[in-house]
Order: sequence, then structure tokens, then C-alpha cells
Amino acid sequence: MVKIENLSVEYGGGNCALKDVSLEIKDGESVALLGANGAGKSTLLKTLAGLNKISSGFVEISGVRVERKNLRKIRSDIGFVFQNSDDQLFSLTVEEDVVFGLRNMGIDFQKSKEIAGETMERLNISHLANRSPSRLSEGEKKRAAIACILAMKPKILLFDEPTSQLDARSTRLLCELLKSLNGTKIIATHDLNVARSVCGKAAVLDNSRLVKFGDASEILSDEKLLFDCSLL
Amino acid sequence: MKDSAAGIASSMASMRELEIFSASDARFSSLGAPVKILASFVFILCVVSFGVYDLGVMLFFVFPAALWFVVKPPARIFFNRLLIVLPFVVFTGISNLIFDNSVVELPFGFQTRGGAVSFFTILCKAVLCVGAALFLVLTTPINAIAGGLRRFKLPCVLVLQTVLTLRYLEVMLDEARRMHCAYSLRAPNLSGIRISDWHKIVARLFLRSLDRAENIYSAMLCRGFCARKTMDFYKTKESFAEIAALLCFVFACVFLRAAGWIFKGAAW
Ligand SMILES: Nc1ncnc2c1ncn2[C@@H]1O[C@H](COP(=O)(O)OP(=O)(O)OP(=O)(O)O)[C@@H](O)[C@H]1O
Ligand SMILES: [Mg+2]
Repeated sequence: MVKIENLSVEYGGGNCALKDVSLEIKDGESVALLGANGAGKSTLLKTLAGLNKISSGFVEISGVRVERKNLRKIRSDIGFVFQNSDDQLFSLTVEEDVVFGLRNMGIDFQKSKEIAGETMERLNISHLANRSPSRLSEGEKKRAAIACILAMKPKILLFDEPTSQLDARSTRLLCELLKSLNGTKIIATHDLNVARSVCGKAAVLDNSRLVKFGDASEILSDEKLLFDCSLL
Repeated sequence: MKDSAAGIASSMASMRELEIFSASDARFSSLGAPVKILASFVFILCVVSFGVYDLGVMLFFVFPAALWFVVKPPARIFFNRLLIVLPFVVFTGISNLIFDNSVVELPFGFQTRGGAVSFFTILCKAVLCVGAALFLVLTTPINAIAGGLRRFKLPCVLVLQTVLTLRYLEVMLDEARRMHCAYSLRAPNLSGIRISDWHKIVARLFLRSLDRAENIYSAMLCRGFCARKTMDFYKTKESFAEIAALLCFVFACVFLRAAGWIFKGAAW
């Protein structure tokens, strides 16, 4: 379970990116994180992964507080696909990048390569295995970044705009893939169709605050709410 | 303008080229990194132990000549890098050439100016030492070198720093390429970056590279990166054959060093 209680996050210079956010996500739930540009979606995801300093409130993941001393434990349960794939991919080849996390989990090289191969196959990027990540198209980078995370089979998946660079078919395939995954999923997106097709629940952020958390179908049919939060 | 963008792109390409070559050469990359590091170290030690007027250092060209035939590294990459260092060496050596007027006896009764001999030996030593280091890098992936250094119990922080610096160098080149591209698209009439804009560009480049490096480091942490564990993946145990090969190499180095000595004593 992911429990967020009165969470506030401030960046330097008093720039408050999250104010007093509370929500609870049960195991296995898929939650769409909706909000306009600058609403605080990426900040919330980074905070769950322990990448941001919490100003007040707390976050618990499977009963473990997100704080410095627990980060190793927490990060072994979490997979985080960054909004910017260039930040995520740093190895010489795509395959090496996918293998990186698996090796860190203590899986031996041969097995890691096998798992990496299967994952790349699922994401339709087997042909890119030996290419340099910095020389891929944006959509290809995105799929490579997603492969890096899915290969590790984390219990909780955090996606920051997973479909932002993908073409229609890749988006559809990814949605199907996401639906087929069992773990808890939190997906920050602007794409209401993705939210509709993958997520059972939705959380709407506006101006650093959580304005609504509930059934995705209910929230996505509330046009006034979506309009007020610049989502329509 | 296009030239500098191309320059950045080609630096990036050659960095990758170097790594791809080192990862792909089967004969030498299968040899453990600690063995190669130790061999390079012994080689360099022997080479620098020759005196400034000691032409025996030339004997050590036997090794690069022999290795060249076995590994055949891409000559362009090798010489390009050697050319970067050579001007510095020539610059240092030239002062000897000018100021050292002593007379040196060469083998077989020849005589010449000390400056000329020392200039030549400095050049030989530089080519040999830089060549050895380059050879190590050309045939060993960076991660394996890191593992090798860890094998010699070098502190993890130091090794990690070395590896990440190489990674971040590329991040910085990539940022430079993006910024240059953005700049030149909005200043199509300029043939480069305005001098008055340089300080802004450099400061921005620094901050952006720092941000990206930090994000990349976060991505590594999120995927379970732990410096000690990751560095130690690449730590290898030497096989008996490797130790035997290393001993042979060390013996050959010592033999050649001694031969240089005897040769010098006999000729004088
Ligand atoms: N590193 C940072 N330093 C300072 N302020 C930041 C930093 N990152 C984000 N912010 C600020 O925090 C606020 C929330 O940013 P965040 O990236 O979480 O938005 P977002 O909802 O993900 O937006 P988008 O949909 O555009 O990705 C913004 O006002 C942004 O300017
Ligand atoms: Mg964002």
C-alpha cells in the first residue's frame, strides 16, 4: 500500500510544488495522476521514489517510511519511468541499460540478458538492443526506458508521462501491456484516454494541491472538474 | 558553426568508438583487467627507468610492434589520441634540444649533442607510455578497468569517480551539442558563438550538465545502484594461465631492461 499523509514538498527558494496532499493507494490498484503543466505530478512521483526532500507530512510504501535510511528497501520495490528518457538511459547500448538494473538485483549476467531479451521483445524494441540510447528516436527511447524498469518486475510502478512520445499504435500496445501488469501502478499523464483505459482510479492535482481522488470513470466524466483543472 | 557542432558530435562518436572497440576485442578483453593493469604498470615503470641519454629504451618498441600484429587496433583512433599528447612532449623536449650542449658518447664510438639524444629518448618514452595506457583503454571496457582497480583495493569512491567522470563527460558533450544547436538555430547569421555570449553559455552548460548528471545518478539509484556492489561485479579472479602470462611479460620487461643496461655498459 502507498500511503501519503499531508505531504508538502518545497524546492529551493520557497517554491512549493506540493501542498498538503493526502491519499491512499491499495496494492494492485492503478491510479492516474492528472493535472496541468506544473501541477506537481512529477514532483509527487519523485517524492515517492525518495528523490525529493519532504518538507512536511510523510509517505509510506508497504508500511515503510520514505526516508533516507529506508531508501534501499523502498527502491527495490519501486520502478520509476522518468518523464525525460535521456535522464533514464545512460549505458552504451539499450541492452546494457536494461541489464543494469537486473545485475543490481543480483541476477547473474546470462539470466539478466535473457530477461532483458524477453522484455525488449514485449516492447517491440529487440532490434534496438545494440543501439546507443542517445541515438534513438524519442519514442524508441521511451520504450527503452520502460523496458529498463519493467524488466526488474517491481511491485510498484511509477510512470511519468509514459505515452507522451509514442505514436498511436505504440500507445495502444503500451496500454495493453500496462493493463496486463499485476502490480500497483501510478501513472502521471495528460492523456485522458490512457487514464480511462488503464486506470481504475484517478487523482487530480491542481496548483500543487490534490483536488479530487476517486473512481477514474467518475472523475473522467466530470467535465467541469476537468475544465477547471485545465485538463480539457 | 556547423564545424564545431560536428566537432562535438565526432568527439562523442570517438568516445563511443573507443568503448565499443574495447568491449568487442575478444582476445584481449577476455584477459582479466587486473593482469592488464599490472602489465601496463610494469611496462611503464621499466620505460621511465631509462636515463635521459639512454637509447636502450628503444628496445621496448618490441612490445608495441608485436601487439600491433595481434590486436590491430583501429590505427586512426590510436594515432589521433597520440597526436593530442605529442605537442606537449615535443614542447618539453625542445628546450633540451636548445639548452643541452653537453657531448654524449654513443655506442660504437659515435659522439653527438646531449640535447638531441635526450629529446629523442623523451619522445620515445612518451610514445611508449601513452601507447601502453591507450592500449589498456582500447582493449578493456571501462567497467572492467574499474573492477581491476578495485582488485588492487583502491578505494571505491576513487574508482567510482573515475568511471562516472567518463560517463558524465559524454553527458556534457551531449548538452554542449544541444545548446549549440539551439543557439545556432536562433542566430543563423553568426558563424560561431559570440565572444560576449561565451560566459553565459559556459555557465549554463555547467549547470545543465550538473542537473542532468544528478538526474542520471537518480535513475541509477532507482535501479538499485550501489557503488561498491556494482564496481565489484567486474572484479575478476585471475586464472593460472593469466598469472603465467603476466609473469612471462614481467620477465621479458626485466630482461629487456637488463639488456639495455648491459648493452650500454658494453658499448661505452
Ligand atoms: N528542480 C526544481 N527546482 C525548482 N522548482 C521545480 C523543480 N522541478 C519542478 N519545479 C517546480 O515545481 C512545480 C511542479 O513541477 P512538476 O515537474 O512536478 O510538474 P508536472 O505536474 O510534472 O508538470 P508537467 O505536466 O509539465 O510535467 C512547477 O512549478 C515547477 O516549476
Ligand atoms: Mg512532469
